[in-house]
Amino acid sequence: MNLSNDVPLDTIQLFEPDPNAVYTIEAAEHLARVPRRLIAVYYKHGLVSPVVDPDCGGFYFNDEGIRALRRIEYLRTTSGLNLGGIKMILDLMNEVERLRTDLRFLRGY
Amino acid sequence: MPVEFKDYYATLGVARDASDEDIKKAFRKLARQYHPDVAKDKKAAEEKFKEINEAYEVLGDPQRRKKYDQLGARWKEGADFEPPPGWQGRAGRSPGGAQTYEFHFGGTGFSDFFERFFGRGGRFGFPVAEDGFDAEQFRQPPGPARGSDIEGDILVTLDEVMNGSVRAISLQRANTSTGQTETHNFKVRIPAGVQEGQTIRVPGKGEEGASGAGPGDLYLRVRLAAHPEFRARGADLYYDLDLAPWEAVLATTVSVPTLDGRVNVRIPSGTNNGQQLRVRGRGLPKGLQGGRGDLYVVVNVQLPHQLNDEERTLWEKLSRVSRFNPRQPT
Repeated sequence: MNLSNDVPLDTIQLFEPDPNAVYTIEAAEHLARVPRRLIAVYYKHGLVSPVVDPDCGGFYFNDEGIRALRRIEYLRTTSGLNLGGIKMILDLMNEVERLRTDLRFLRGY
Repeated sequence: MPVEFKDYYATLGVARDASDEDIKKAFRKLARQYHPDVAKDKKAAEEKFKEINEAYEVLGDPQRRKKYDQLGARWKEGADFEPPPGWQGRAGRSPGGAQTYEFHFGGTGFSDFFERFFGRGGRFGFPVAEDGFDAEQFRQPPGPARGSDIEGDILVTLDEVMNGSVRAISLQRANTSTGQTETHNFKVRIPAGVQEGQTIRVPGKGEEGASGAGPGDLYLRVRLAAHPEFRARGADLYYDLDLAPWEAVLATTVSVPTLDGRVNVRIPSGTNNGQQLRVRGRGLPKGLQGGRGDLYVVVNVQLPHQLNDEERTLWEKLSRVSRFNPRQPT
């Protein structure tokens, strides 16, 4: 499917996600729709890894973190998994992703 | 929904029983020819380059190729085709089994066909009442539930990683309240220095929420397009350099391509097969940390295929004179 030609390109909304953007836990709570107490629980169980900013002493989340939070919510609410199960699945998904990347590289595309 | 069948074999111009090596060669040849940097008609070349990449994304992977061959067997010339049973692709199904939604991407570098059968995107995060989680404190905030998130892959070329780019994306999805198909056109900036697997979050471009709640987000996962010369790992690039045996033994200087012009690389004497020579700072931009990765030249010693009489005599003489025994432990 191609972009329809009748829409002039310059009037289209442009998204410029900042790859360096970090969010406070309050912002993450809002963006991911996950209560912050729950974020803290996820953190304690090692499910999310916030970006630590030593200057400010707090921890912050980037877009990767927001995605992780949404993923956890999905696993928790639709699959009825407990935290241990979620952790195992996330670890496996990361491992598969890593192996896929390695395989692609070694196959020499 | 019927999907237009794509003949990836025709795209790469190879036979259906071509070997993996032939497919790789065909890809490299075409990718060099249509690389947006070298082609005269940039626009057309870019389109073609993406098609080639998509075809190689499938045929270059034995697992995907097998799946594709199974699909292809059911395909009739020129016809749109309905996938065989069991091929739900990534279309979402509610727990009840009814097809709940359908959406299509444009502008990501992958066609509908690819998206449907090989895309790894999917939706996640549809909000339902929590079950299996007992703690009272974990209740969702009250109010209508937000729309689902949508995840999809986006093919990014190495040149886009170098310079960044703006991509026009079109997303077709069913409006959950009216049931009508809507097309959303928008542009997304791909920042320079993105890496394989990195997420680009486009807020509000997921599915509409129920009863006036906000929409979900769109998550684009970066997939680096295959490049005819380089392989990427993190911010580092790898280039396979073919050498003659005497070049590797006696030292030489070779001109090697990089993403920004050629550089001369000195091959020291006694360079072994598989050895990596580093060209500092000629890899991909590192994004957050700044600076650039390195280019690794991987030595690949090639043996001559045909020998004339004189060459044969010389090799024979070498075999008599040389005391080198590769199987002797040092």
